[in-house]
Order: sequence, then C-alpha cells, then structure tokens
Amino acid sequence: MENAIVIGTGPAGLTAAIYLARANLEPLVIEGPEPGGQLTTTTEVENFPGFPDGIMGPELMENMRKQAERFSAKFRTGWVNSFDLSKRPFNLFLEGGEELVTKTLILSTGASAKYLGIPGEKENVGRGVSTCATCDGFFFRGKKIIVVGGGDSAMEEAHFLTKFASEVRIVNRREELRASKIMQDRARQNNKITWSLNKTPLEVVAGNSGVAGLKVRNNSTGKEEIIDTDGIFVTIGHTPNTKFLNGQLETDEVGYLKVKPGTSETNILGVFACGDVKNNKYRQAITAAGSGAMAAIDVEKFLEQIENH
Amino acid sequence: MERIQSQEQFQAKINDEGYTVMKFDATWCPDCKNMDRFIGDVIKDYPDKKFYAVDSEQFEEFAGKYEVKGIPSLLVFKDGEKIAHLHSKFAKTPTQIREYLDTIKA
Repeated sequence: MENAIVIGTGPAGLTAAIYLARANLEPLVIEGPEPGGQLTTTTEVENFPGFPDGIMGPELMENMRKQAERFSAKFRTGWVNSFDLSKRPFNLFLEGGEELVTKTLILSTGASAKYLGIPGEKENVGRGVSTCATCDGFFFRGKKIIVVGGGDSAMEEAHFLTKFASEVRIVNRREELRASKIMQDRARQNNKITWSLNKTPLEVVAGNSGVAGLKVRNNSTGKEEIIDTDGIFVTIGHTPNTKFLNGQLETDEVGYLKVKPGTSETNILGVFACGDVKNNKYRQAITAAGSGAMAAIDVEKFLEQIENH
Repeated sequence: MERIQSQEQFQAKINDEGYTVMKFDATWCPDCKNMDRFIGDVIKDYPDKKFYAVDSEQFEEFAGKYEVKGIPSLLVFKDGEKIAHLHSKFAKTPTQIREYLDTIKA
C-alpha cells in the first residue's frame, strides 16, 4: 500500500511529489497522457521566479521531475480508468487491469485544451486543426494560419507561429482581448499578425487535403464570411481533467474540483487536489506549484492524524 | 521501432506486402515523447503490421505529400497508398491506439 499517490505530473503534481519525497513518504507519481502537463507545449516561461533569463517550459518540467526523483519519488506511466473512493484505503484501477491501493490521493490532473465545438472541427484535428502550436506549427511553413482566442496563450502561439507561417490571423469573439498588456503589445508589434476581432467562429471549412477556411460571423453586422486558411490553432482556454472521476468528488458546474478554501482538501477525507484541476482563477505555473506544496503538507498532516489514532 | 533512414527506404517499405505503419514524429514534440513511452508495447501485438518511425523534419517532403499536419501521426500504407491516418490527439493512450489498429485488418 502506498502512503500517497499523485496523479498528474504538471507543476502541481511534481511539486507535491518533491515535498512528499523530502518528507520520506515515498510518493508514487502516475504520469498520464500528457506528461509534464501544459508547460511542455509552451516555449519560453518568463515569469517563473528563479529564472532571470527565462526557461523553456519542457526544461522546467524536466527539472522538477529530476528534483522529485532525487528524493526518491517513484514514477510510473499509467492511465487511471476508475477509482473507488468510497472507503479508505482508496483503490485505483489502471488501464490494463492493474489495481493500486493508497492511504491518500493527490489529484493534479490539470486541464486540457478546449475545442470550439463547431462543425468540421474535431474531424479535422491533425488535418489543419490543432491546439498545440509548438507541436504542429512546423507543418505550416509559408502557409496561412488562424489562431482563435484572445488570451495570453493565444498571443504567445500567434507570435510563435509567425516563425513558420506567412500570415497569422487572430480571430477573437470579442473586440477586447483578455491577454495581458505585455503579450498584446508583443502581438500587435509583429507585422505578420493580422486581426479579425468581434467575430464568432461558426464552422471549419475543409477540402480533401484538410482545412481550407474558417467561417465566421461578424457580431456587429451579423454578416458571415469564410476566411481562407491552411491551419486553425484553437487557443480558447482549458477544460478540467475530471471526467474519469465519474462524479465521485464535488466539482463546480464546469467540472473543476471543489476544495475547502485555503486548503487542498476535497469533499472526501484523504483526497486532495492541486493545480488547474481545482477551481482556481490564477492558472499559473507558480500558483500550481504553490498549491502542490499545500497538498503535500495537507497529506503529511492527514497521515500523522490517522496514524496517531 | 526502426527509424527510416532514406527516401528510398521509405518508398520501399510502403510498397512492402501487407500493412506498413509510418509514425511521423520529431525530436521536439512532447506528444511524440508521450507516445514513445508505450508504442513499443502496443506494436508487439500487431505482428501483421510493420512499424517504422519517420522524422518529420528530416523527411519534410513526405510529411507534405501525405498531409501530415500534426505529430505524432500514424499513417497506414498498403501497396504504396496511404489508407488511414491517425493523429495523436486521438491517440494519447495505448487503448486508443489499439482501437485504431484493430480497425485495419486484412
């Protein structure tokens, strides 16, 4: 039986692992379908303290993993199919049939890129629709690309994609952008970036060889048009990875896990949540890491309590 | 998984008898690293198919020709023609890959 199983290996899960490992609790960390989490698909991280010159997202995650391993955190690849959280210790069932048992559980499964949910989108993922510029930008050398979204990530992806594309058009539903000023300014100064604001994406238009255009509606005039493009990068935020929990834990209406304010405690004793999987308005690497430390400390306290009774 | 070394080798392999699965990837792609953790185990269960890895940067021409617009992608060839194309967004776990490969039978 494990003292603690951590599910998810973004900054939250790995920080929790570092803390638990340093406390000699030998945590078992399960790496799922997106090892390293969202940061592995970013380029440079400029706001993580301690790196005055910035650091590449994948490198930062590799460092965190090494740091956890240094203190003997155990890592394994696995895909958790289901849980039984109705009694302690908890049971986890992995794809392939293996069962794991643990006294405590930290959920740090994060959030995954959200799609627009418009016709033509899903069937063209990998045929011109993408949610990962760093992965797929390379295939659009000299081509026209649309980035949908108005947040920091959309600005960053658009900026990055100008390395490959002949033109990058940012399409955003609102006239105003959600992105921070520094990111907006950087995008506006890039002369390869053009703008289609106040336009709602309606449909991905595709031909035999994949994406050919994006149909949008002008929100002021109601007029519809098709913008020609070879690729559509969707950067409109994230959706929490909580479906596999099958409703065993309390979530908000969107699916983010609810925790007791100021702690990492979920509604089930012994189950803790940290990072983007819990309702959290900040969604930064550093806040995820911070909440990972909180979860580890909460686990430690909890284990002390149950062992003293 | 054996890696394709030359254009000639690629051509020869896709013309081989039976099914040939080409995994397009790149050194800098996080989803490719993810897939590499388990693809080795999966392909053992498909002795009827031959699997090769193709560096998309090294063989950009093939990536273009076969419409690879995201990686990793698994392209299935038979008699030199591409007959199926799975993109990684739908291939994050061993089960998803197995389900896809199961659909391609002689």
